[in-house]
Amino acid sequence: MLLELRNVTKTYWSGVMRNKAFHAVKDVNLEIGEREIFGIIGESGSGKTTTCKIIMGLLKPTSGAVLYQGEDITKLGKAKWHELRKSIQMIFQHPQMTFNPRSTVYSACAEPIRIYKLAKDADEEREMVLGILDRVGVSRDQLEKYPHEISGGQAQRLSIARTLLLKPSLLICDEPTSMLDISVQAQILSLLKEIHGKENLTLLYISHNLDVVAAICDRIAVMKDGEIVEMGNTDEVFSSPKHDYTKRLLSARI
Amino acid sequence: MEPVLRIDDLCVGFHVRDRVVNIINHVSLHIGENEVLGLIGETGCGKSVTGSAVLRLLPDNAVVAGQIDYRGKALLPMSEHEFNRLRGAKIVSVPQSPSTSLNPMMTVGMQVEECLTRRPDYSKKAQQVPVRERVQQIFERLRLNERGKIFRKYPCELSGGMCQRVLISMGAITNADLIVVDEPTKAVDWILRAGVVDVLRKMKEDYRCAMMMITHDIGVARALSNRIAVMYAGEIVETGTAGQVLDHPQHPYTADLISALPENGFHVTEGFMPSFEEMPAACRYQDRCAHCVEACRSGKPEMHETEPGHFVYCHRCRGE
Repeated sequence: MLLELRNVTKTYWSGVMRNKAFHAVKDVNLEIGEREIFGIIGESGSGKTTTCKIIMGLLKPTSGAVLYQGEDITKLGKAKWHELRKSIQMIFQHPQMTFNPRSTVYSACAEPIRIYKLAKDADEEREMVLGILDRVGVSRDQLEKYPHEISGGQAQRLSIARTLLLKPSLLICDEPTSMLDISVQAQILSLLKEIHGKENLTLLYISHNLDVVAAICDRIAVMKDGEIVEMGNTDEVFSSPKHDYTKRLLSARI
Repeated sequence: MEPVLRIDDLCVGFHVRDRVVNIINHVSLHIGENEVLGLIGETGCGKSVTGSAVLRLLPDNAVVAGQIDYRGKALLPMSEHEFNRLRGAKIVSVPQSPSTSLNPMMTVGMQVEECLTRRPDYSKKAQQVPVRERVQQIFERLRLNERGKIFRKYPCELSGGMCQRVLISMGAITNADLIVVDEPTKAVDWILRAGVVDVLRKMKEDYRCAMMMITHDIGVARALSNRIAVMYAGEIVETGTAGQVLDHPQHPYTADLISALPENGFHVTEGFMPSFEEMPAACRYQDRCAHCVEACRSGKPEMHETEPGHFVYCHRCRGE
């Protein structure tokens, strides 16, 4: 198992006495195997993104453990995480908002190389960036542009390119296509699928769009109010849903 | 029968620096009584510009040519004063992005009320039903009641789906004749999307209004529209009933768009939509089209009727 979540719970406390509990994520258990495409579906506010953030180490769970290659990563220190971040990467929902508006596309793409000192000199750095841009299908004349000058689809390709530079083994995609229209969505999905086919990559794909999930995921988990209500192979869940909520979700297909 | 809206040969351009960039190119459409026309196409193809042209909400640098008739009356030459009597009363818009279209400093009830009280012909005495009562009624209709509390809520206290329904109620409250709905399901999740579709369908049945629905969501277009017009790079490429266009697409662009859906295996079409500043002169889809022939590069495709009511602008459909 590449990634295992064991009884992960995230609770927020509110109220005057800090006595009102809200369970954003409640007792989540899941296992993701190597080279799998695992999907999490559910409506807004069901805890999908919180789960992601816990796996990414951006949030500490209230209780429970996240095992990555057998090691509990919730208790790691900053230095360890710096190393680990190379193998766990994430693509966000709003592509344009993930780029620094004041730096060009080139320096945004070169940033991971600089942080992890992957290149010996500027020439090698440039070569790596150009190589990765070709991979994701962004033309080279985009390099000196600023994030607001590129389209949403281009920006999403670039954020995929940035993560690929680090050769991650787990890529978390948090609704990468919900802001894009269908023809661009098709481009991004087939790019992800192609990368998954070539590299040793595991995808955790989060979405509320059932059509997308049905098209690319091997296994899925359905989340509601912070809990996983159903989990299984995509075909099984879609053809014979067990839980009422899953049935409701599937009947909302139009 | 006279259609509710008839757009004839509409061209819209924008002054950019010292030139005019042409965006909408000879678009002709019509919407009949109690009919929903779905206008689909990818981002930046001119769907929203067409909608704004009907509502005369284009920015000052726009150049509009052609004819837009609402029940036989030409809208474009109308004076601003005259048009204001129609816009908001008979021709209504439901804008996109509910989070930014509502006034954050006003309760939603007041905002919906304004749609009635700010009309030039409004007088308090003439109302048979108090305005507030009517607002409550429409909220109830759209399942927004929550025991009458919603009236006093601010937009920030509501979820995205609720804000969307508030916007729709603003469109419905004036008993409009023609509603321009812009991307009603953008950025709402799966269950809310089904809810919004439900609300729009109910509205169509209850108010018997004509609707122009601008969307890139083909599922929503299929669920709601009677007829569908497909737009690419500022031109209409195909129109017909929802079944004709979506199940038997004749234009290569429509076919590519439908095969890009995830359930159809997300096939990728090579290339991008050309920039409006360097549009190819003949068929605008020529560079991306898999069936491109010599004629596509030399002449503008004309309209062909492939079956009754199904119109396609493509050279390949000629003589079929």
